[in-house]
Amino acid sequence: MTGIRDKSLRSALITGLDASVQDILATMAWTSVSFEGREVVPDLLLSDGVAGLVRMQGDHEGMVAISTDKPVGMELVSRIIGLPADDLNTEDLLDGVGELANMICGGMKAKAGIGGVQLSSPVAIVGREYSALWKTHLKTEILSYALDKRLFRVHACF
Amino acid sequence: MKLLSVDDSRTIRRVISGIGSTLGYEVLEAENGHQGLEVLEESSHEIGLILLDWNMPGMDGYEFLTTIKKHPTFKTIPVMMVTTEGEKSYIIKAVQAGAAHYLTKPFSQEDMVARILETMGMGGQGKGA
Amino acid sequence: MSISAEEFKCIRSFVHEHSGILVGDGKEYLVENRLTVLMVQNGCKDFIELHEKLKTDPGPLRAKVIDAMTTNETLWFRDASFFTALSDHIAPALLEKAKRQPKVRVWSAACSTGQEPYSVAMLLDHGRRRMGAGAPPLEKFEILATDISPSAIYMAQAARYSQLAISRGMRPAFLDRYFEKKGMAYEVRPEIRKLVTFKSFNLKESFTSHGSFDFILCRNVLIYFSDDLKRQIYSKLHGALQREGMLAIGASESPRGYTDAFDQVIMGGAAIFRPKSGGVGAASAIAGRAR
Ligand SMILES: C[S@@+](CC[C@H](N)C(=O)[O-])C[C@H]1O[C@@H](n2cnc3c(N)ncnc32)[C@H](O)[C@@H]1O
Repeated sequence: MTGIRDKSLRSALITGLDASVQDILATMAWTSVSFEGREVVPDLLLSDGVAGLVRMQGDHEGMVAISTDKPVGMELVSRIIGLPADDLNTEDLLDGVGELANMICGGMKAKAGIGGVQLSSPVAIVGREYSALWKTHLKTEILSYALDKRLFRVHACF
Repeated sequence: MKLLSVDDSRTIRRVISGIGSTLGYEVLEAENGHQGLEVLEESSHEIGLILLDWNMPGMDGYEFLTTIKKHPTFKTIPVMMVTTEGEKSYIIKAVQAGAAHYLTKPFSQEDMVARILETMGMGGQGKGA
Repeated sequence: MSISAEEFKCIRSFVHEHSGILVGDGKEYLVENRLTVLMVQNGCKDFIELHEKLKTDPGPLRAKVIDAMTTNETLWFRDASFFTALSDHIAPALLEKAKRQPKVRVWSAACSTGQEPYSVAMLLDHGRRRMGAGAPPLEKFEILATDISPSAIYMAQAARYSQLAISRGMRPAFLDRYFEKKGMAYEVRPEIRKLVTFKSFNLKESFTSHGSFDFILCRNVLIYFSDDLKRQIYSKLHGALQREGMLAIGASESPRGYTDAFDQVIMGGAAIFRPKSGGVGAASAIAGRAR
């Protein structure tokens, strides 16, 4: 299996991904984000403070990742579970960011109406300085959102 | 009566605990199917509903569901799937295996409450408990 | 494996016919997601069959379908400018009325899980405290709160909210004064709960049994309805208001194009509506059913 070449499927997935991000932040984190732009890059390269990654396997292959800085990550997780950000530890943040990635990717699948794709358990990263690289099959599209002037990015690699 | 949340994500388990306590139910937690079975061995008599994730390392939700539905006493406990897997084929598979409800993540708190109340019955413990 | 256009059409028209709610284009996944379980459990192989079943066997199955398709998202003190209007203009006016009238009646017509009517009750009590001596007793107020969704009503009646639900708009000062911590949840205090009576009620039905009101909140629900139904409901709301009554709708809503029976008044930055040619006569003010 390789990346997704079918143009209409790609665009259905990207549209679904955008809707999924808005939906999940609204229903689970009770917040809304503004769309800031879309860019296309060759590979998945993450270097923000926190990231969550989910692998897609089966009829279509790829990866969906989210990344943002630590305060935004904390804020989102704190809103989801309804506890103040100060009460959260690193494990809470890791789990929360992973679960967010999982839900965003699952939501994308549902909204794009694709079947035959399994999702891996999410991988989460928290750290002050790291880079993570994943060689995308075709290319990576990055959707950027702003939450109180801070960036929240979603990377779609397929 | 208590609820049992079987989910590998502590985030989701906490959200469910919060919702359960709003309704007056204590929520027991397990990280995967194996742990879920252990909890059932101990306390199945007090569990009124199981909230079950699908994808979990170790024993996944579907295996757990089919296992308990074969068990002489556990099989009567209603199960609600709570998962990101929203495909119709998954829903059908779970319902045919005996799941009483199916909620896809993300879920709004109100949706989850509605389903819990449907299973646990209105006018149960929630009010004034 | 996705839902067909025909299946979607059937379900959509059923939901619309029975609740007034319009399921938007592109919401196929919502139908599929929420109703597949009911479909399989009722032995149907697709939504057409479920629709057939719904037609012949309404009762509980119909209620389940409607409950599954309604979204009852809500907030405490939803919309800042509206609640400024409420605390600075509407509550004081209602408190003044309570000095002259035996009862002041409020209706939250799509109350969801109770945040809206409880917010109103809290603001009335807050206003009463600010008034000091001479303030009317709380017993003068009667708040009817209704919603089509039985589970929302149940939640509302239980009056318990999680930390998460509380974090959505509740003010710390109000949290301290009007809630009791019960385990992980917060419970609305009895003196506030006592003011509110909950009932399931479909806005498509006749309003006459409710009596008339000094203040009606019908917020963020008509948006789901067709134009025709909006017109009908605005007219029924008009009929249920006292002559001096006030109507509040959602911040993004407007009655324009559906009715011209109301005058718009701006209060504290929010639009509030008063019946033009007087609602019901003042004599029937207390004709509404007591609890
Ligand atoms: C988005 S909520 C609004 C809640 C609250 N008024 C607010 O503004 O925060 C909409 C509510 O309308 C209810 N609803 C939908 N159709 C209805 C109908 N036909 N009759 C009564 N309530 C209805 C839903 O159950 C839901 O609780």
